[in-house]
Amino acid sequence: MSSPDSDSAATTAATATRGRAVTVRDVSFRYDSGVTALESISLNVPHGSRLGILGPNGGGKSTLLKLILGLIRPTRGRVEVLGLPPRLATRSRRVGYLPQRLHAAWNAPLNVRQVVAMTAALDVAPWRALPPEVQGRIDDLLDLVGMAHLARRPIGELSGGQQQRAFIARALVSRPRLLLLDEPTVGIDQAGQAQFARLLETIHRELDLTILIVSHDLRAIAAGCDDIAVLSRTLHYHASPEGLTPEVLAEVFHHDIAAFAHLRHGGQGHENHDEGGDGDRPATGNGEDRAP
Amino acid sequence: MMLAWQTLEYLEFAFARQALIAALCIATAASALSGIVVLKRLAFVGQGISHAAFGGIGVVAILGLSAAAGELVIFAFCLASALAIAGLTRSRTEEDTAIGIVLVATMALGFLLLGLRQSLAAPGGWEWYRSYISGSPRPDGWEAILFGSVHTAGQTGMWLSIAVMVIVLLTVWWFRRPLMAFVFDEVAAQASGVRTRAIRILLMVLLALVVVVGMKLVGVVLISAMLILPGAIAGQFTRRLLAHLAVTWVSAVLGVLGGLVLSFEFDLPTGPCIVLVLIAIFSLGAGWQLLLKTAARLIGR
Repeated sequence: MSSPDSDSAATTAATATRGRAVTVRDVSFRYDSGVTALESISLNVPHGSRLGILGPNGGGKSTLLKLILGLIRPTRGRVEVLGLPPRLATRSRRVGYLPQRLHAAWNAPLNVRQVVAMTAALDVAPWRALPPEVQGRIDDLLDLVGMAHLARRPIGELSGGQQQRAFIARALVSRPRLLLLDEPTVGIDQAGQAQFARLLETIHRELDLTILIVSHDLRAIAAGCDDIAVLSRTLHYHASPEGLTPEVLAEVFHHDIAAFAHLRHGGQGHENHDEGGDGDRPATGNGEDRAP
Repeated sequence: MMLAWQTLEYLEFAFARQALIAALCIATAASALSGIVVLKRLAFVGQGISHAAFGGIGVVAILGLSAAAGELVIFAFCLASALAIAGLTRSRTEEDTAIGIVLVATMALGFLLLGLRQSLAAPGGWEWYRSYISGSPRPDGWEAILFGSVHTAGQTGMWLSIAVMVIVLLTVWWFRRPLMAFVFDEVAAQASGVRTRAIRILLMVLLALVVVVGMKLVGVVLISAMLILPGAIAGQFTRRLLAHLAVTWVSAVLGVLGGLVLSFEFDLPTGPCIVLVLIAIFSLGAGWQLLLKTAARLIGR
């Protein structure tokens, strides 16, 4: 799935002048419980690039995402998103966010279109209907992600891969400059993952945006990233996927197993939702997990 | 047929008509929140909020407050307990533990104050309370608090129910978009700029309102059934938004109408009658699900 070298080199050269999508400068984060989730992280994500952040559970990936989304503030250091403080960037809808699928209430009586419209609808005054211009954009995106024929289907009746594509469309409705993906492959089968990687490729090519993928699953990242960073409390590695050796992975993941055990005993389990589990879980199973 | 005919005779009386209108308003308000309660797993929260009313009733008893002041105190207790549950849950306590703590704390306080009041002013210690519920000589205090009664609505109760219904419907409609995002995925909603804490508090206020006006009809113990069952019933029949809202509302209305008829005919406490009708509808839904699954299996083979 990775694009030819010349292609990505050209993109990088063209976008270098346009500044950075995400700047993380010497950031540390400590939870109230005293657990240090991130330590002295520095990260630059150029516009138009595709960065994958790989890390084991409890390695601080979700914390980093929350910092970039502006949901929490760093204990030390600075985060800038599209040249703005993260909170402002998120509020201005220039950041599209693909949350972990397992968090959603799949029993909700909503169809695909209603889910896709959800975030854009937040900007419309309560007494107004969704403007035709937004409606049109939703239709275009449903086409782009190949979900137009399923637009009226209840979201809970779709496969994991289809739900993921609906979520991608939702993240793109407000035309973001930066797309954040949180564990995009969890609960999606092989075929779905391949399709998803192709979709990301298309989105990157057609919409000219920066993509940042956070995952514990190497496949999620290797499929569609130009650069890769390995995160386990500190940033261990930052290079192209081709340069990632088994030695580096082994070292980081081993290091983290110890770190995670420590979290389990001493911490509040703030990273618990990272343990969504992988493997092929049918969508209905997720829904029933949430049933009362 | 004979049953319905006797109910019609009952409706000659003002108290019965008022109870009917109050019941329909409470059903409508509760059904507007029911889907959210079920999807957001707030079912047990309703239980905690309604039992907090005991604390309020105790305070009303010991201070000898008037009916209107009494309503306010009870509402304040319900709301405070709702917020306490939300606050405790944010720190190190699990939600069910938080609800358990708040529920027993307010109930213990209520019983304690009621007992104190009784020992101070018995006999006749219940007079304050009779005027609070309706001025009607029956049914006796405890039963009405616990299980509700058609006699307790009165004209004030009717108008309060109408007001609460209007407030709940308007608020839910106004905030429908952030509410939808909040219910579907709280983390994603927060990341999209929805103030999830404010939405949660708003929901608690609305729940407390419905509980306080609904309590007198359905009773403290069973009012949360009005918040849980209609949404749970709708979940069995459909996953489409409009149909879901319709099924929720229709089942809530059928529940209170059926419950009122049973209550009038057999002179039974209203709450259990309403809940029994709702449970019957829920069982029908479960049967329907089973039928669909069996049919699907047969056709699939």
